[in-house]
Amino acid sequence: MTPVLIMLVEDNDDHAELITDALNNTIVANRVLRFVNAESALEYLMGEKAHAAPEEYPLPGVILLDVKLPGMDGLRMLRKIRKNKRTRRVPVVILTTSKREDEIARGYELGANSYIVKPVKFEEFRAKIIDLKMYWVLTSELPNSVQESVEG
Amino acid sequence: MRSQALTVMLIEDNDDHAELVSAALAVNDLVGNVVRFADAEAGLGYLFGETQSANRQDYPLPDLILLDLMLPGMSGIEMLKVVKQRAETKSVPVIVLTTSSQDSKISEAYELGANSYIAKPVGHQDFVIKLAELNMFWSVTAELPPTTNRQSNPSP
Repeated sequence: MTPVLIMLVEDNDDHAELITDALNNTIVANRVLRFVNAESALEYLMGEKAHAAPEEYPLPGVILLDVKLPGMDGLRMLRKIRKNKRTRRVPVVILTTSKREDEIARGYELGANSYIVKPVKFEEFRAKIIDLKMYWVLTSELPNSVQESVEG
Repeated sequence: MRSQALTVMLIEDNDDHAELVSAALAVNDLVGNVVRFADAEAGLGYLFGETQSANRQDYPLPDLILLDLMLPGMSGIEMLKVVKQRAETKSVPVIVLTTSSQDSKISEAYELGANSYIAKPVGHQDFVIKLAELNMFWSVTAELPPTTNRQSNPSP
């Protein structure tokens, strides 16, 4: 099993720590790249440096994206990811504390691959992240990120 | 906890695989209804046919679509395109479930809006394990979009 590069866009330090820890709980240690806002994550994905040296800025296998962020919110970032040729195939899993149906519908409409509501209880939150990893890293196939920058 | 059991559409021409998938989805009570079709044409008929569209009580839109790519007649990729273009079904998560694990196929499927891609393993036991995880993630861990027929207050 190859470790997967996971981009985490999350402003809450406690949540980020819990998520990173849960993602690394088993045999496969994944590399987690954390950003505290959408602007810096987009800079990594499509900024000038990313264009000039794509090998130093590898595309993540999957993006975990919090909705409520300071500045640009997660759904606006999702829209940009889907519009950009380099990033539009990268699976995005939205993380949110809200269970509002209209927000969930909007996220899927904008091209979110999946949607996770963060439970309030620590153990439940951790269990969801471990299952998220089981599914996205160990069960599903992710688009090959290497070839993306070469095409179109 | 969801108030209503999920409806899953399965497009799969292989009877053995269809049986394995149905068994995996039946392990908890979250999936109430598996609507299976052996080809894409019949699946699209269920989603967009006149009779079916007029009677969503009896033909509920699925909460999730599991889609084989290698099908007789219209391919799964063609069906995926239609599902992701039509407003009624655009948001319904589509999980590709196929034997191919070619990079180009995987990229194409994600590019066309597939929500996820699962390669069917050759070994029976491995396949059963993957299906159990698929069921766990989508019916327990993830939130699915509200389908029109499940919404109590349809948004304008």
